[in-house]
Amino acid sequence: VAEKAPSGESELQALLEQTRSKLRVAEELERRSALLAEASAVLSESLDYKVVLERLARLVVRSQADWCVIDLVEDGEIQRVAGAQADPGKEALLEELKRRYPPRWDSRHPSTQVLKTGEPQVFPQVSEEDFARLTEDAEHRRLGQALGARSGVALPLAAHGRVLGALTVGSGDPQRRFGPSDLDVLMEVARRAAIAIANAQLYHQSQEAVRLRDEFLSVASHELNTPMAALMLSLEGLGTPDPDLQLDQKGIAHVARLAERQGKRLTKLINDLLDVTRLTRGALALNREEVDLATLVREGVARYKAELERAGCEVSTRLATPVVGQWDPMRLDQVVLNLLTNAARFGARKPIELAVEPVGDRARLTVADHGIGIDPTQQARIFERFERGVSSHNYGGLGLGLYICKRIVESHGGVISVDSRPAQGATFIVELPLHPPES
Amino acid sequence: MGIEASSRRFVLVVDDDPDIRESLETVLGIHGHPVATAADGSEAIDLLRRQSSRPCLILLDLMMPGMNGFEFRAELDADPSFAKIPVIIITGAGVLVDEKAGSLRAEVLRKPFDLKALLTTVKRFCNAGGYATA
Repeated sequence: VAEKAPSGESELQALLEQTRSKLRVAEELERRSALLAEASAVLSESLDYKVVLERLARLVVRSQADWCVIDLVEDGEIQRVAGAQADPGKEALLEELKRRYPPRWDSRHPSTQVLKTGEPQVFPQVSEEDFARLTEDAEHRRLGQALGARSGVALPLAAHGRVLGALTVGSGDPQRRFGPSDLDVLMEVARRAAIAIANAQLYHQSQEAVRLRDEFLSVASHELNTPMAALMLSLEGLGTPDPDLQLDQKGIAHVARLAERQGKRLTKLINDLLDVTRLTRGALALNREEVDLATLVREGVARYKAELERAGCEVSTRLATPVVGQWDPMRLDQVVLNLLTNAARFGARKPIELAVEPVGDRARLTVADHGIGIDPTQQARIFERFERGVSSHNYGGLGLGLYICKRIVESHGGVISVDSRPAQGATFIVELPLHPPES
Repeated sequence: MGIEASSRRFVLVVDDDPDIRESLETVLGIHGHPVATAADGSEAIDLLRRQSSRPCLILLDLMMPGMNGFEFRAELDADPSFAKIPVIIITGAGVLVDEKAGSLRAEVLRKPFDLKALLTTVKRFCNAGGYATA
């Protein structure tokens, strides 16, 4: 027995060690499943994903790391939307990093690399070289060091095949090394967060679509009611039964002209609305024929002359040579008219310039005004359906003209773009291939 | 069209749409109400400052470039010599603008106008005794 004692003791020791190790694994597993359960609960709390991501960052810090930051791609730019750290004394550090070294598409942050590649970045032990490679300058390194940067992981937040953002965690504890098992649980957190973000974004998009539709309906009724009001007034003016109020021949002709103009306005609005319905359903059927764009523009300007005069805009044209291509003349006429209408509406009574010129195997039409211009942040939006660069409190219009232009130009295989600065005016450029693309 | 130097009280139409201005001017004119017009809020304020007489009524559109109807109304309220001029909102917009129009504490005449309602309203404020006073 005495001989067996040491062996028995060491067996006992081994057993104890084994048990302890299993217990640690079990505790770790429990901690992880608790983290996942809590993460799921946090993520389903609200559709305001910024609030949710702040909570998630705090949760990750509580169980996994010294600090955690979450970056999302919003409108094409990287935004740091959430951050948390274990040490309350370091709160200011995260803020300072966010303010002075925000992640950008050309910055060295691990999250930027993750957003570009969609692949996780794991740094079990951050070396001097790693740290230099991942930071912008000495000051960035100093702040990173102070926050804690001995080990870290950056993970993609991906859902529906898109990388929506990145989650980065780190630690300054020399004992803490992020490895494959951390990666597993953090990947799962990231996956759940990404689904929650994608759902929230879809929700906000649908809310935005509803808002746009409501605004559109309000604007559309205004647009239809305005000429209708003028038309009805004119007709009622003509039809007044009181013999003392009868108009003379000249008066009748004047009011009839006014009424006719309103009828035309209403027709154009209704056609625009019908076009949009057609365009949203599918591609436009073009009736291509040989067209001289210069002549088409000249005639369009002549037809719209009265409107331009009333808008106080002088028009000059540079239509030197015929520019002949295979296009749908009715549709191109619509493009010219819509661009002219916009130039007159937003042109602030200043001159408008039109030009048509050949550029290689393409025709280029430019319509330039010197009016209120378009804010750079609005320039991509204005070609979308129901969108407007300005408040509907100030300007009428259905918000469909540029959408219709874009669809017509694209159906011809062409492109439309805008060059504008606020208060300097806007130049719209349409480029059309002379011949239809080979099918 | 400007206002003749007469003692007749006039209606001020503030609307960015030239056709609305012209048709209101024509029709109210037929019915004996002189009309002055402005294409936006700041043009209307200028006109009011230049005129010695006050309009009996302002017909105000809401959606206008430059100074819109909401801003114009605030401008009127801020000036004691204009604050008492009656204002009727003329709008063709839907519910969204209606809700906001409520904040302006003004009657609303909806486009397209009911000519009878329009004339009744104008007479109520302008008390011109009809067209025969010319």
